[in-house]
Amino acid sequence: MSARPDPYQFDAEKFGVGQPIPRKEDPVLVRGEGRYTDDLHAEAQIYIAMVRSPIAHGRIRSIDLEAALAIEGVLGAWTGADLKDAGYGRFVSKITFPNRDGSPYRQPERYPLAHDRVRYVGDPVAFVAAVSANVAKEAAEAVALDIESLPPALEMADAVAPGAARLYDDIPDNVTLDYHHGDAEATAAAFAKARHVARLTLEDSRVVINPMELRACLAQYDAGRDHWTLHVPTQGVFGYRAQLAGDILKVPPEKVTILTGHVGGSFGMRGSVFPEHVCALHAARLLGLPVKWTEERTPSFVSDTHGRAQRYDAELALDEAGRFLALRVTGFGDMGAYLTTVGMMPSTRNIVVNVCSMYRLPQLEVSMRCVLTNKTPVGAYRGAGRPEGNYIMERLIEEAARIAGVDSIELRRINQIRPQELPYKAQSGIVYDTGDFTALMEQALEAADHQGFAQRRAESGARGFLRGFGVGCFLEATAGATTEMGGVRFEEDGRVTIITGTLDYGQGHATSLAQILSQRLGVPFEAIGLLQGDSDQLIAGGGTGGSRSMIASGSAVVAASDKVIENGKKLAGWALEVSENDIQFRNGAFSIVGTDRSVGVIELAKRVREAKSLPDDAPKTLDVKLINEGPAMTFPNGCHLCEVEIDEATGATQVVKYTMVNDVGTVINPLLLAGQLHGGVVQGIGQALMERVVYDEDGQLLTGSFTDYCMPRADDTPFFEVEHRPQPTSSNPLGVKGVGEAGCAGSITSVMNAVVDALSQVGVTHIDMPATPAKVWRLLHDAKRKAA
Amino acid sequence: MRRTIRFLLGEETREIESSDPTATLLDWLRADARLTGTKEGCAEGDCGACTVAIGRLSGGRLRYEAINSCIRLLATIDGCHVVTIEHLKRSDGSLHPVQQAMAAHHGSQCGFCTPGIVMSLYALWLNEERPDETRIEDALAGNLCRCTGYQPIIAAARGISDFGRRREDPLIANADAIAARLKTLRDEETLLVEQEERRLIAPATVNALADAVVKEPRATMLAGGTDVGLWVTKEMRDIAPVIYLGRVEALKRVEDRGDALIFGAGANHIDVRKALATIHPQLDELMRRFGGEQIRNAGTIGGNIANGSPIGDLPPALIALGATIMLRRGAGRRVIPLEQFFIAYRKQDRRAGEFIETITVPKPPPDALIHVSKVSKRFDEDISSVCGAFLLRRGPDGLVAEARLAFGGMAATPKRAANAETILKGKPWSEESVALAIGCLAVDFKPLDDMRASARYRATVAGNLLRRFLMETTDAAIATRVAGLMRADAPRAAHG
Ligand SMILES: Cc1cc2nc3c(=O)[nH]c(=O)nc-3n(C[C@H](O)[C@H](O)[C@H](O)COP(=O)(O)OP(=O)(O)OC[C@H]3O[C@@H](n4cnc5c(N)ncnc54)[C@H](O)[C@@H]3O)c2cc1C
Ligand code: FES
Ligand code: FES
Repeated sequence: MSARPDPYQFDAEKFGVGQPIPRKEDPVLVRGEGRYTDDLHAEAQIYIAMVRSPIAHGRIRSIDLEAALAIEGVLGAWTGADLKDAGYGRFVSKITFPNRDGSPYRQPERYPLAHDRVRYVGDPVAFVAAVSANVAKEAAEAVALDIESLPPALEMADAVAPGAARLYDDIPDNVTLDYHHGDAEATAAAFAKARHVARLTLEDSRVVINPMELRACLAQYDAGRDHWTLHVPTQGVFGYRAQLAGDILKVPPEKVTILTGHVGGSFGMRGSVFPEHVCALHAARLLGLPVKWTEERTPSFVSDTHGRAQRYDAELALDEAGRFLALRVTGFGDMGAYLTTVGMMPSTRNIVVNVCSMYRLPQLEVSMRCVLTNKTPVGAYRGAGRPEGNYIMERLIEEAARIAGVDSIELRRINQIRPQELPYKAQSGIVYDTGDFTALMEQALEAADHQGFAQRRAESGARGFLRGFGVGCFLEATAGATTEMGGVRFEEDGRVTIITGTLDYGQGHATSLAQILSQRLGVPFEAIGLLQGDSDQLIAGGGTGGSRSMIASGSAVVAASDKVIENGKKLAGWALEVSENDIQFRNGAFSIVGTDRSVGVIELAKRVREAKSLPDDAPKTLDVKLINEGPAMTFPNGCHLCEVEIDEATGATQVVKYTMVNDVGTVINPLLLAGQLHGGVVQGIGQALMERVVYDEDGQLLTGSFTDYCMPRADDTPFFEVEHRPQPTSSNPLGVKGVGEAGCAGSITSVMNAVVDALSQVGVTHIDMPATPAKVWRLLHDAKRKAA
Repeated sequence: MRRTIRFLLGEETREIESSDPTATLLDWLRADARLTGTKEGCAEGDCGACTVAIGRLSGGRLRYEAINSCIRLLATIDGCHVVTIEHLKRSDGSLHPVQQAMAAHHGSQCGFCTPGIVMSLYALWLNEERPDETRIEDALAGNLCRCTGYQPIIAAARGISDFGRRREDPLIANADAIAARLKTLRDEETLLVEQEERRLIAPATVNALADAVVKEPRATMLAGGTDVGLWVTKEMRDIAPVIYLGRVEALKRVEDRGDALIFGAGANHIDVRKALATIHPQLDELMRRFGGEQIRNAGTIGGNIANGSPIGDLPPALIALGATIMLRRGAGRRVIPLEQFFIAYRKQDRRAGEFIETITVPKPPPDALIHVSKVSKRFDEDISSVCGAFLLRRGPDGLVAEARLAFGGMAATPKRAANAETILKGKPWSEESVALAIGCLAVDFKPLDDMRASARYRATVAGNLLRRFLMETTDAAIATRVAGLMRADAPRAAHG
């Protein structure tokens, strides 16, 4: 008789850290059983629709709601002034850096809805509530806006020029923050003695983030308890609640419950409160009904936040041996019309900490101005400054190699920090702990058959294609320390629930965190669940962002497991009637040293739960809820090698070979890791080659649909060669470094370097993102004309 | 007259009395049937999040197709089998092979696009056990995913059959039973969906259709809805009253008469592609690049013509081939050359009470030179900037005897280049003649000037297409199908 395998038998080999376990999330998601916010349906729910500014800049003269209110089925309509009068607070930037001269930066005023001025096409000014989504939409169209048009400030360089239109009366030059880092004099001195200086003007193009799930929320208000509940896709409910309750509603956090179900992608976008959420809450309170809001795709192109949008003059100084002496970046970050919570971070501090990358750099100066323009506000987008910083460095290296007449790979070798130099304090002030950068690059070159490139180039050439090889080395600094909750709860049915404040929107946290807990506590992988999107269950939570989930939540789960074991020893001593000093924990069970008497961790939890009495000095439960201090920043790094073919006849670029070797520290699940990398790389390819935001001279967005805004599709993506070279960090107990954003940092750099390398065959030395066929063709054409 | 919409939803038969005649299938699925697995990502046919499979009887055979439920009206699925992600559920709780493949290859991250992708792949697999890379990419061209980078999804598509056999799939195994049930839902009655004086009329026969159009000359005619659906979802237009053509089986016929292909106006782009491919491979490529798979499944040849868009893809090709259309009013019919149908911007020669019944495409003689180009910013799922379609014949003397040069995007309507055609006649098919013809284009056309392409760009491209035509037809060694060429040796194939 063969025993049926015990489903609860622990198998660390199969389910522990490092295993390519298919995701726990998948059975639900591939069945279409994910519950995204718009899938929720509350009894008697009503709907709101937004009224948005049709022009980029103007002064609101009046908003007439009468025609909308007259439509059958309309329950109410409100303007920005109504919300302001109702006492809702402002959206404020949470960045703390001062201006270059030490003065505080300027915080433009933003209430939930525009009430005096409109500042971009799509700026919400009013909203309507109705019994159905269609009636609400129809009524929103009926709202009459009288807006006096003002000249817009659209381009960053124009916006800071004297005489430019001002977005805010109290911000004369449209600059919110004049950011500066580094020693200007020392940097200038280093440049003065340089043998070579590479100079590039680089554009980090604006992109529309476009997660596939449209923004949405379902708001409820319980008058009896004076309590708000908001179902909303977020990147972490704890931080979201703090902002909503503290800044906007101005109530204690326990008056608000934030619930996040499945989230259909975010990439940085859903990190904070959006105006529409406040509108839904307002209507819920006034009407006493649940209020649903779901965006539509066309308006989402202007009403979501955008990403990237920076411009720099970048310079790299080298000595005669090719050693880097100094790097200087001077530029702008486009904030759009308002400051988002972390909107200034990507173009300031995150440039500083990422531009240094994996190279020895004695001097660094970064001067960036955060500029307001009459365009959609800019927020975090996958990497939020990390891809940008690396892009600046990697493009400069290529340019330096060109002007110095040396091989760019050799230039990297010369300047890469060596393992024996670690820990290394970068000019950003940050100390790198681990990494073997040159070895990693060599491994990548080998994997990509760099040797064979010349031949591949010749073959492509014979077919009329310009082939290019692009290197994209990167090192990024992940989000710094933030506290995170580590919760472990033993359920009555024998299951174990992890509770933490980061939030999965595709990364597979339920799987990777379960792998960690399973390995630490020896509880079966299948028995572990994840609770993440309920603010009432959290005592802390920094949320997802900056590639921090495994670092923060993974470490918190480790700390919670340790606590379970510590408490468990005391309780096992009670259960097995011996001193806790005689108890050891192994393979999921507490046992008396030297005997075979033991109690499993789940069994122990049950006994404790059912115990009539427990010793006074013993914990009252095996459950653990703790706040883990955030582990330090980590430095995921890698080398991506991209080959493109450019069709000389059309200028169309195709990525034809893509190889990457990454060091993201300990690999928890290679399958999920590859997924994060693939997705990030393709988003980078999208930005590098196709995604283009075009505004006309009035500030109207021309690329406002999937037809006109070119997103990568299935046939645009290359086959990837993925290898890992982990150098676990000791700054957190798991040794993980974070991977969520690495793909983008590697791809915009390697793809653009490959494009330039291909075009270098006709003498082109630089092209900005996105390298669309039209732009490439134009360069090819001009180059040919010049040559002729 | 029947007043209930009848269809199969999964295994259930559904009958819907009185409903909003212009409600979309997606809204009905999500709001009324509470089947929220199907998602809305754009409501304009661009993203595929709303993809469901629709089974219908076609020439007696049961045929499943992926379509965009966001722009498909509920009333138009009368007599069909609607299969959503929820219906892949198996009684023993296990995952369907498509779902298993998606999970095993990590083809889902946030999961939002996943139901649509699963349904696209499922529809593909129902039609092809082991699709190749190109077929997979074509089948996915209408689906966007922002998370995965697609490679895992393509791997999953390739590997579906590793997880189960196609013939064991319930839709294949029970095809006869399903077909029998669909047959019982079919009748010759006209379907009337009415609510508060807004109606949709769906006749089942051509004659009933002809009567209906005469009776309601101002009604919006609806075929695949890939244009009209957007009027509802994007432009919020009230299109009622509506006459739906899709129940008329005879209108979907494609017939090879030997000397010509006869298309019922309701033939979808998949069937049209198959037939046109027999004329010229460039017609095959043109149709391959028409929308995404879901659009090709729903959209019709008649709709593409009647829509009257200056940038519709089929009209230039059909005009170049000398197609005629038959317009029917009641029992009366008239046949006109297709180019005469287009009068001015969005104004067609369709008289009150008329509809397009058939399109006749003469097969070109073997010595005819043909060229078809769609110039757009991206390979698939894109709108043409310029479409050029040319047919040229030379006489025994080697001089041009006939030239039909049709363009889209070059005027307010699809249009022939009359002066260019005239100047070519009697001249050798040479560089000099083409230069003269290109010179005439400036007289023939006033190209569109919009954000998709400037007038100057379009004019230049149009001329270059003629050059390309010449090069292609005079020097076999010159490869001018750049996009196609590039894709042919796409490296992924090498990696298998
Ligand atoms: C995502 C997307 C991609 C697309 N890609 C392309 C593309 O690549 N190339 C392209 O050309 N088009 C494209 N289209 C447009 C559209 O798919 C085509 O025009 C399609 O052929 C329309 O056919 P239909 O059956 O769906 O027409 P419908 O939308 O049903 O009708 C279109 C028009 O034709 C009228 N009509 C339909 N049938 C008849 C008839 N028999 N007699 C008289 N009038 C009739 C209708 O009243 C309406 O005015 C795309 C659309 C979408 C949404
Ligand atoms: S919802 Fe995007 S295609 Fe239907
Ligand atoms: S998995 Fe998120 S959009 Fe595809």
